Amino acid sequence: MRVSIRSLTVEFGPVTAVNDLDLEVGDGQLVAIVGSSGCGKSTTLGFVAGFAKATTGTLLFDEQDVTEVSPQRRKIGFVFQDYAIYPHLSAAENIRFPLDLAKVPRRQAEQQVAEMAELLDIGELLHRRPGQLSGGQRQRVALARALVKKPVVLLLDEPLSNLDAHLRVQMRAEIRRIQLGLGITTLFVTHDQAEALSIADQVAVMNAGRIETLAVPQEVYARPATLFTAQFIGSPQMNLWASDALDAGFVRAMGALDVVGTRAATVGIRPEHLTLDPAGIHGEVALRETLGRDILLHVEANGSRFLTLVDSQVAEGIRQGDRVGFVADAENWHYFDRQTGARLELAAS
Amino acid sequence: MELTRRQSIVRWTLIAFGLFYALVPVLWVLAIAVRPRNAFTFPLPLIPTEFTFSNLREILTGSDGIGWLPYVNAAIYGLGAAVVTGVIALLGGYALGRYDTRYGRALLLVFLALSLLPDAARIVPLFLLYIHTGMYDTRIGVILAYAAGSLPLGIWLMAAIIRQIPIRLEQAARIDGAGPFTVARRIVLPLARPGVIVVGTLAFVSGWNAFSLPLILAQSPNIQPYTVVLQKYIVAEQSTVNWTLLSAGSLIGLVPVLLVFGFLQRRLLAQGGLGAAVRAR
Amino acid sequence: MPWLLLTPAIGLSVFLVVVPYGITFLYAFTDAQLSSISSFSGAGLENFSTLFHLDEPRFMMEVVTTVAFTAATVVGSLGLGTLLAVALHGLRARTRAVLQALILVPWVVASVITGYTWTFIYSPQVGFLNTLIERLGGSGVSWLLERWLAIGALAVANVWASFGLVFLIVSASLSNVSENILRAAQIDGAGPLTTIRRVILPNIRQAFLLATLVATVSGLNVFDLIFVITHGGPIYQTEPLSLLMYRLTFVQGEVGAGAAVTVILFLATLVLSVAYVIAWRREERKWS
Repeated sequence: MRVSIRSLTVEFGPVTAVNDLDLEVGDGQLVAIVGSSGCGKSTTLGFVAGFAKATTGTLLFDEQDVTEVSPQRRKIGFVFQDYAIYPHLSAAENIRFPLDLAKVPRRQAEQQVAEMAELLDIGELLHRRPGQLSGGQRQRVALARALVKKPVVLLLDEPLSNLDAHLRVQMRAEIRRIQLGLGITTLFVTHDQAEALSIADQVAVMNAGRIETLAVPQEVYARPATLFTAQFIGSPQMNLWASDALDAGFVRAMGALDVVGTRAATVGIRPEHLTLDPAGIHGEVALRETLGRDILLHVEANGSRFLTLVDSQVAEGIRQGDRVGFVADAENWHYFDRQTGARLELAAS
Repeated sequence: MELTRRQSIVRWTLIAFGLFYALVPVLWVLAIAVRPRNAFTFPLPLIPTEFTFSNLREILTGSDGIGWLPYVNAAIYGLGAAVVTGVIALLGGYALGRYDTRYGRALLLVFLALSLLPDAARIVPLFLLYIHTGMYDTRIGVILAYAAGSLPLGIWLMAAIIRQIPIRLEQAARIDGAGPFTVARRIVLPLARPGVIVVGTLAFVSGWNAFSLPLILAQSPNIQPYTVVLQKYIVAEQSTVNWTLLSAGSLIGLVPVLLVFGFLQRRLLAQGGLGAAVRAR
Repeated sequence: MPWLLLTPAIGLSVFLVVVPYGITFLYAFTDAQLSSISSFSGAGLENFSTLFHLDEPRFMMEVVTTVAFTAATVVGSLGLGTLLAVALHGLRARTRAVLQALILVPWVVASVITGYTWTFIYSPQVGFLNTLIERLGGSGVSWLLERWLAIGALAVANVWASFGLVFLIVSASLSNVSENILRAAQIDGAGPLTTIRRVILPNIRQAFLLATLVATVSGLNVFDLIFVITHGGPIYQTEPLSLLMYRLTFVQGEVGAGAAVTVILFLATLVLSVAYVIAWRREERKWS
């Protein structure tokens, strides 16, 4: 089932939550919509589900206009951030609920519930009530309930936000596995960029009601289309400076293009692309953050602060206050137009 | 939840019916109270054609009226009950709210049971008790009687509200060097104020609206509230009822309560107050 | 436990609630008369047996009146209160607040004023109902003359006064049903009625119990309203037990008999409360 959102605009009074948004999701694809709070991602999802009324815009399921169809008739599955499973029913009854409403015969319904429970590994929990389940378990029940009616589209609204860090990593892989296994078209909203990158076929980065970038995860990471995308995607965050904040000679020595004077730009490089090299530019280590496998060094050089990500073995002897040298490759620099934030493809001259 | 057009119509019809049912009687009282005495042709026009405030004046100052005193009495009972209940409920509510012991919980249950006993069932017993203790036919007797009636619910509400005040605040104040009275005065009281207002308001409404207890316990006309005194306009045969004055008198009885209620509506139904208490139950 | 803080509360309640009830129960077993309240002798269960042998009016008739009136009050206020709570649920906060305030107006009105007000409504000559009917071409009805019509009319008046509280209780409980649960139900394919029946109602059962109890107690112990509208008439046709209690004690001076009725009413309330607590406990266990 292909999902197409065309020209979606959603206004709440004076506030425009979504601004002329277009999105195409291919059959069986998982598209992650990622952005910070208030960017309009949940509203967009709400539109696909039928909860959010659009000021203008169309929604198509496989060429069929479903914009005016009520949520109960869209045959979609939805997993809420707070799971929203019925507290007065057992897990099994929760999962069976959509089938009961569709008047599926009891025995057949129970069969399907059992299959779902198997898929999500909650077989022993079926008779329990939500109050007796942990957050992760409730989430699986919510997912089972969403999938049991074999929906054409699966929508997930920050489903992992309320889970512990470890569980989150575990569950996202599970969700992806199940999604691929069922081949179901999926829209996954999250504010966690790592989550989005790890499981999506395509990532849509949203900001202020618009999609700034839509691309495969690797592309979004390696060649971010806008400044916002570059800032939002990737942790630790990309180093960014205004082009005239850096000394021209310094800039050239670092392998970056000399855009000072030619065009107002924002220049960026990811911390992992600054390599320690005694022959390079020198600076003083202001702070050393241990991240486990890597070390993040905050280096003061040329009046600016640089973040560089170094393997912990390499950085072993380096302490705060030490002087280090670092270099960068010309091809790892990113340039963004200062006015629009759009990516600039500048070739080395 | 998004509703279809038909469902929306059903919902708003229901609301319209509810509003109609709730407001028409009050509006009818108003409609009759503003009609002059002789405008009673049959059948009455639904909307009065002539307006007058003479009935209101007559009730309060006229020879046929009941004067200010009955309303003053009702106000005394209301305020008295409010103050007494407010104070006592605050003290008791604090004790039961902060100390979650078995006795405390049992006591709350007892108070819950007591709150179910209605005023009317107390008429006879209170009458007997008051006669025995000389509190019969006194204002303070009526005040205390109503305070005792509002107390159980008041304590329940206060306990629920006190529980919502984090005890950490009191502990922080103690660490800052405040003694128990200071803590009470500067931490608990200000934070519990909305709750006290709610409890006081409910007690006031109960006291102002008092009927069955003053009917029996207040024999002398000079301490009777308007609720009792207005009866004089209803004689056995309906045809001799003085409708205009009765409705005017009722209207005056309605106004303060509606004002108080309207003014405090947000407080009454906001996160303090009844919502908390209902959830606490 | 700071018992000192509780002393005034306990003191007042004991003095003005517990003791009076105690005294009344004692009086129920005596032959005390209003005229000579301090001199009485024990009478065992005679008061109770006399009640059942009352001829004019028959005690059982009054019981029937009480039960019918209470049942009508409960059904009416539960129905209307719940429906309105559901109808208002999900409206925007400002609209809701306004509508809520208006709906609650009857609740704060004094019960006697309610009585006077509904006397106006039902009055054959100047009543709102008859006026409306006459204006529409029909002929007015004597609402309060025939027994069952009168009981119904009284019930309508009592529902008017008490549905507000039911509405409040159910509303507060409804706000515990999150918006997302309702949306989930929609996604699962439930229309509004199905949602109410299978998702909302099960979750507000506890509040519903409370509201039922409140409405029942309010119906059982009605006094002001009927006192003022029909005074139990015509000829005791609409006299519930609470008015009987009053009449026996203060009109006929039979303090003992009046106290006996009080005991009966109290026992009924007690039984209901116990039933409520049992039902409540059962619900609690289902949720934990």
